[in-house]
Amino acid sequence: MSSYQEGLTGEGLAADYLVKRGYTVVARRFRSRTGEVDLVARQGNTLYFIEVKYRPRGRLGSGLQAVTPDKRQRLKQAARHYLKGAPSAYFIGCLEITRAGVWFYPDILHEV
Amino acid sequence: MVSNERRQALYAYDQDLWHQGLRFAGIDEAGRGPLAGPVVAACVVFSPGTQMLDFIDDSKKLSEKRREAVCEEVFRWADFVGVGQVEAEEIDRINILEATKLAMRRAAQGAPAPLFLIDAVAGVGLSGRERPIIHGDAVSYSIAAASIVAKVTRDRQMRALGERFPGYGFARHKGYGTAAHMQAIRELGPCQEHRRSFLKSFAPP
Repeated sequence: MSSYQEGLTGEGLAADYLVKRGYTVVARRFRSRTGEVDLVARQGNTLYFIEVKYRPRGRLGSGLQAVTPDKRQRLKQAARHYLKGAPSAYFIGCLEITRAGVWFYPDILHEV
Repeated sequence: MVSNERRQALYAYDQDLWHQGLRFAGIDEAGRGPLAGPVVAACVVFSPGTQMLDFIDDSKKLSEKRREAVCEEVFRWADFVGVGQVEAEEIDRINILEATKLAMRRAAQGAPAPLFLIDAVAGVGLSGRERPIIHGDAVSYSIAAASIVAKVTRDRQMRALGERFPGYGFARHKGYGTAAHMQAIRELGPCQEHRRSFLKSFAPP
């Protein structure tokens, strides 16, 4: 399996993980002029813009580490664009799949 | 109500291609006609033999609530889902047909498929072979799935625009040229999400 295909499998797994925990997945691989986001999920009135990192051989935290401050800012941009300026509560999150299992960090701008 | 036979026929079309050993994506668009908002395209790839989802059918025939539920199932079971969006201002710059193709290219970027089944549009400029199909969302299961994802995504965007630009009724008509929408444009003037190139014919922007 190429690393690209692994990435895809990762997004499907991530969507399934979130659905099983009561989130609603509202977008996958959303692209506009200003950016791209892997997954958008909703719980109640809160939206989560999520970068998916698939590292089946990596350690816990290795996916999260790969989301650089620059990438976080770009995710924020994509989130603003997706929301079209409508007031909405949202977080930037990261979901990593490593040999330690699936781990969801719901708010990577404010903690970590 | 969606007939089961119809859904079987859609699935059979894709199954036939799977049996020929082809791997392909379905592509469809939403929002070519409206006076406001983005045009949104979706690209969906299922693994050969993926279970058939309920209520996959022409996106216009399902209720809004049902479409949302089906869309979520597609997000869950498809191998690949990509959504591409082109804003009103970009549409004015390059025209709606080119904007539709651009949205399709954004949606299909990185799709793991050498063949693309596309609803009604030819010459999109994708990385693989393209097969345009008229009324494709009533022919192919993958196109029908893409059609639902595109429509649901666009409708959500229009509801968000409705909050930001109240008075036009975007949440209701999703930007289409209903009588109420035209009247609102006459009274309020266009907002930044209106496609100026679409308004020329009925009122000076």
